[in-house]
Amino acid sequence: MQNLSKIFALTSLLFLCVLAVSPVKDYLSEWRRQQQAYNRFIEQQPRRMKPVPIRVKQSWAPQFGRVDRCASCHLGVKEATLTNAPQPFRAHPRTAHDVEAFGCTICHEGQGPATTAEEAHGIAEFWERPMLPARYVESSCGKCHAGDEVPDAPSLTAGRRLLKEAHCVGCHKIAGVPKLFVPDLNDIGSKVSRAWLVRWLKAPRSYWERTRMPNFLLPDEEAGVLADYLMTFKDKGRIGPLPEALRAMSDERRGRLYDLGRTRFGEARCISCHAVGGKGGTAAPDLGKIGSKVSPAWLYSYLRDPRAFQPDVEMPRYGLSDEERLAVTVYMTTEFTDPEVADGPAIPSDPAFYEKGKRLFRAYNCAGCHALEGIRPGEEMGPELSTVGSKRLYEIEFGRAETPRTLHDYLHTKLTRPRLFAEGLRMPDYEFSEEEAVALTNALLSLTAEKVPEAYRVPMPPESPYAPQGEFGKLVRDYACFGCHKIHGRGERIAPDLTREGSQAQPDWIRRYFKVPYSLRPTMTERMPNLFMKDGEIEAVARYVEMVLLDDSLRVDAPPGDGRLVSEGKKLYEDYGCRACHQIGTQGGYVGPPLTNVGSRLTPGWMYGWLENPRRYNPDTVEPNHGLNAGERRALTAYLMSLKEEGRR
Amino acid sequence: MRAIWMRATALLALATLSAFGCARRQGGAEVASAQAVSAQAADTVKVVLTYEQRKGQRVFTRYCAVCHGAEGAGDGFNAYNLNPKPRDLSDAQFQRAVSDEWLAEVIAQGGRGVNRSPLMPAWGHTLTRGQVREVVAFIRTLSGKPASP
Repeated sequence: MQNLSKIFALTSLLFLCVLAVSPVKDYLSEWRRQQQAYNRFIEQQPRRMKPVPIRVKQSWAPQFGRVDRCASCHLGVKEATLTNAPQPFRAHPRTAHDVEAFGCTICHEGQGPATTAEEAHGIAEFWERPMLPARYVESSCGKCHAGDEVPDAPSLTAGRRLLKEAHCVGCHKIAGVPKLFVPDLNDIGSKVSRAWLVRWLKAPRSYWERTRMPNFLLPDEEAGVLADYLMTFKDKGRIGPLPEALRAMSDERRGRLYDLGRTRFGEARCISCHAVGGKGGTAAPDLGKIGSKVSPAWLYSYLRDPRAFQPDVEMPRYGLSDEERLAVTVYMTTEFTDPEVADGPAIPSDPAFYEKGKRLFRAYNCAGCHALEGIRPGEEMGPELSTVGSKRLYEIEFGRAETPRTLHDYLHTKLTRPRLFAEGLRMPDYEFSEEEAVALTNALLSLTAEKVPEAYRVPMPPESPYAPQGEFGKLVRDYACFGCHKIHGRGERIAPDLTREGSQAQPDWIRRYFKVPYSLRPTMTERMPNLFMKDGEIEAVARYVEMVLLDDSLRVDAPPGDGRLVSEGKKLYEDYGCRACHQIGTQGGYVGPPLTNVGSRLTPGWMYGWLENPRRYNPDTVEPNHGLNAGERRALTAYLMSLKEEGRR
Repeated sequence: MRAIWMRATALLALATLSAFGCARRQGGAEVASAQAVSAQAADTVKVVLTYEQRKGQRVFTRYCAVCHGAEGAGDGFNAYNLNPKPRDLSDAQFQRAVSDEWLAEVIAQGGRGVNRSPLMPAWGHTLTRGQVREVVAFIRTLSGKPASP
């Protein structure tokens, strides 16, 4: 019996010890050690700081349903003096959002309620969203910010642009991402040569480095079969014949045409959009080897009216005469050739090429981007990506790849090595750079199903309803003005916004400008082309501009051109260092437009308004607001208005 | 008797298990290290700037680099039009000689405001104080050495 009570005493004692394990473990916990270390750390700081009481710290963001205990170890988050402290005590950089109100995991992800570093950051079992590496944190901005441009998120912004430009929507459905213009292939057989097509299918970038067409990694025989299939799609009347005269042309006349073509090619500023051998614009295909790609007849017809071939193309319809068009065709097809293209890989034809080619065309979903007669367009082949950022790990096929089992690593790997995860995948290789792949991963991660409260959502800016009608509307379409200029929020930002052009430029100057367009900024690649517009067209555009594209707030009376005010303005021009960026005569910098004859170009109202706040009229301008007072603005305007072209008032 | 011993041992074992069991370390160290490696690979490509410095860099590239150059060496494309030449911000000696406050003042007031060349415009009406501070933070990275505290 006594033995029994001894045993009982012993067991009780042991049991007590076991019960003590839990409190001891808590006492020795990681966060407690970190907090003690923090209190020791701040004692060494030059500025006196209050030690923190030892306890778990928790933030609660009820609007997002997030509870975060990160601050239990990240104790310096709000201490401005600890910007360079070692982690986990470093201060959070100042961002647009208050760390207090937003918590941590809404941006950084990870397991907020965890109290050990490994569980909070790392890949814990049954925890789908581990902490995002720094380079992917921007993806979280996209939970609330829906627009293409997200402030202070350059990678996400670049990614969202790339998501459109790489045309992922050809194969994947993505809500809110529109399809872009891609040429149809209905007369491809009359447009290009087989040798070029095979080469292009094998490696599009060897022809045009910046093409959106990805590399489908086709074996030789597939490329040959597909090319043969496509070459059967011949022209059905869109391509007119070349003038007969061209065949029997003397070398001398051909030479004269070549020279004329070269002049017009330069005047038309083709290289504003097209590059030639890598030099020039990036908006349209490289023309450096165009002579080895397209047939002269196609080019000749295309130049007459690009939109007859490609209704959505941004190429302007140049007002060239037939002779000039022929000259440009002769110049381009003789100058821009590459013998290598014609000698493309010799791939023999397969007798069953039509059926096999059609099968391949479907298998690789070429019709997702390129329209082709007889093939149903718009079938999405890949999975929908509208909420890919919320994809669960069990839904992802990692195969035998050694990629870390996280969504962001999967997406990044998929973008850079699209066929790694399984056999028989058909996603093409876009040859993204590391920066592009990270940007796109950010954009994809931002497409989540997570619902944030309405009050926090920054919606996509509405599309501009501006659509000019009538004669002006037709001219704007023909000359593809929106391809470079913006009017009332519609169009691109390559060239100046023309919303207030009628209040900005003098009517006479507008008319003269269309006759001989020149770039106001000689350092730009994208320059205004000579569109070879007819006089009547120029008059129609000028009349619309001076009657409609106005801003009444810019109507001030021209200041009296008295000499005193002008010389006062001239002194201010020097005092404020305007010549650092602007040129008058041969003096000054190249950042802003030259002001040599600005008095014959701009209106005084515009100058006065611009000097008050340049950003009001062009948010993208580099010119700073100089904080000029009204008197200074009047004097500077008077001076600038005195700078007139000789012979003009 | 023997049964009691056995019962006690069993109880003990159970208690120990329940105390340690729930806190089993979860796997993932391997994956985490792979992540660290990839992050390190990205680091070696370029010097990693802080969030504030990166924001400053974007402003600098947009507004300042035309004259001061992308690396701050005073060799922007517009520099040769200027006399006096823009300041070489990558000069370590210059960086040591000036305080953050002075740099911020020159940026905000322009050369005209601090009795220097008026060719440096004033940015105080364009950039916020925070942006100026970020630009200064970025300029400090241009000399290749961290700023002295």
